[in-house]
Amino acid sequence: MSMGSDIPARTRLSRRRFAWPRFPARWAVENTGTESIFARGLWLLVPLQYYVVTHIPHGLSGDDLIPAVTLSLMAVAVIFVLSCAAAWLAAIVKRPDPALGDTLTGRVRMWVVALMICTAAAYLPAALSLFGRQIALAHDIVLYGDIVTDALTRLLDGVGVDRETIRALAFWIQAVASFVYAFTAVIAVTLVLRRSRRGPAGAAAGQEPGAISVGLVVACLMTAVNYAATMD
Amino acid sequence: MRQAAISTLLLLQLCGTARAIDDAGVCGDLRNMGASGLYLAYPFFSPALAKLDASKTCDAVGGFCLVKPGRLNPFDDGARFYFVPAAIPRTEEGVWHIRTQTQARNLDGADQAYLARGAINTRCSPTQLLESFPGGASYVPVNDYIDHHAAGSDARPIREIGQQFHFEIQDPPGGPACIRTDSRRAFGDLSRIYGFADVARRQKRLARFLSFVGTAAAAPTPYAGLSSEFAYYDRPEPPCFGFAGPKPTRTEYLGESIDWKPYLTTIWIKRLRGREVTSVGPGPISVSWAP
Repeated sequence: MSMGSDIPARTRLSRRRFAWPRFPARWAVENTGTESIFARGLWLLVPLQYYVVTHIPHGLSGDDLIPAVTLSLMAVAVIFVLSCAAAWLAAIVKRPDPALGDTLTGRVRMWVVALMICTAAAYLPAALSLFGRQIALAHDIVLYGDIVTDALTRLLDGVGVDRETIRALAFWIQAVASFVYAFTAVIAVTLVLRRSRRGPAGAAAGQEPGAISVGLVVACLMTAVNYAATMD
Repeated sequence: MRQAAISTLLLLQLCGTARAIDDAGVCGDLRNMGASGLYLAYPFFSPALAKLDASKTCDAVGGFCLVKPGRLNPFDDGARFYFVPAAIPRTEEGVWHIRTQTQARNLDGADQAYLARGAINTRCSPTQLLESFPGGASYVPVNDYIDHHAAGSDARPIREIGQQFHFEIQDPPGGPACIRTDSRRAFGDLSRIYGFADVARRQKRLARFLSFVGTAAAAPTPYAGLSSEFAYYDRPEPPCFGFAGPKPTRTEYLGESIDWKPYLTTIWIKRLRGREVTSVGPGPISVSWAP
């Protein structure tokens, strides 16, 4: 008789080790159909980033198509490099087990998928809010920047922070906004993909990167891209 | 009394203390003269006054000399423009926008714009002073100014310009309703009213680095000084307002006393009667500066 069967179920559950949430990137590569859709949809990141960096205050001009697209492609390249680095670091902590289908290549793939999906999902609401700002402007409703940055600035203004200090904190406000967009994207994508998941988790589930790590990387990437676009 | 005032002014001059020209004093003198149009006011002890002819009118107590701009005018950093427009009905508030663009022989590439609008009460803000730049004036990047007033999808509102420069005015004049001076619904294309002529958006550092061919936007603007000001007048006396003389508005020289040689200042003055914008005079006013 095993010890486990004498232990009540509630106690068994309480002994289960806490697992950090993982970003459900495996859906994109579970079959050729979804992989094809993902590969095409991936490039939406380029126009989304172009729109954001050419419409944020102090950003690039709309005519700077080549610099803006180059910046976006550089961001994609950085995602690939960061994915390799992250997978390699994860392999040091927990060695891949090829017998279970867990390979270093697979982990890199998961990181690339996770970062690309999350980055695009983070830029989407920013781009939509900037687009909405253009429509609102025609009706004299003024938003100074994307919706999160504007809200943060108004919050600081509302609690009495003076204008000079707010101007000096512009980079940090933008960084906080990037974190909000990134983690909102992580939560939204995780919820959507988990709801749409059919059947048990595939073999690739163990290779998925941590959701918090993905959010942090995307937030830093977004901050860096927006900062580069606004440098004088 | 007059001798005492002159002695005091001489003492101040010897001590190297600059005495700013007082708008109220100058406008008072202009009204007494029955003046109209554009005038230049020089500080009382300006070296430029020696080059002026006898047509100048000096006020020792006020500490300034007034002259109507001629063909060539001596330049002084402390000089200030004054404009006496046509009388306005007492039922209306007087709102003017003044834009100047200055070219110099030894300087170009203005990448900042001098913006001025005082912290004042207006008919649309009778109890609360308007939010303003510290001291009523500030420099903003030209790109930000262009973005704030750009048309269509290029428009990017800038907080400092929207809240510390633009403000609400009555529309229609004398009526209870108010509109913002940067309202796109009322004014449409703001760049037609407020935009600097022949001044393009400067490329950001990243764009300059990643551009593979040079563009027109990479060339510096031919202007050395750019300014944009609002004048607000709501008193029984005939209107009169002052605005800044030429200033270099390039980042490296902001607020510094440099030996620059302006040769032409072009001035656009527009009256805003609610959403109706009319240019004062047939076209821009050109003021040439002597070498």
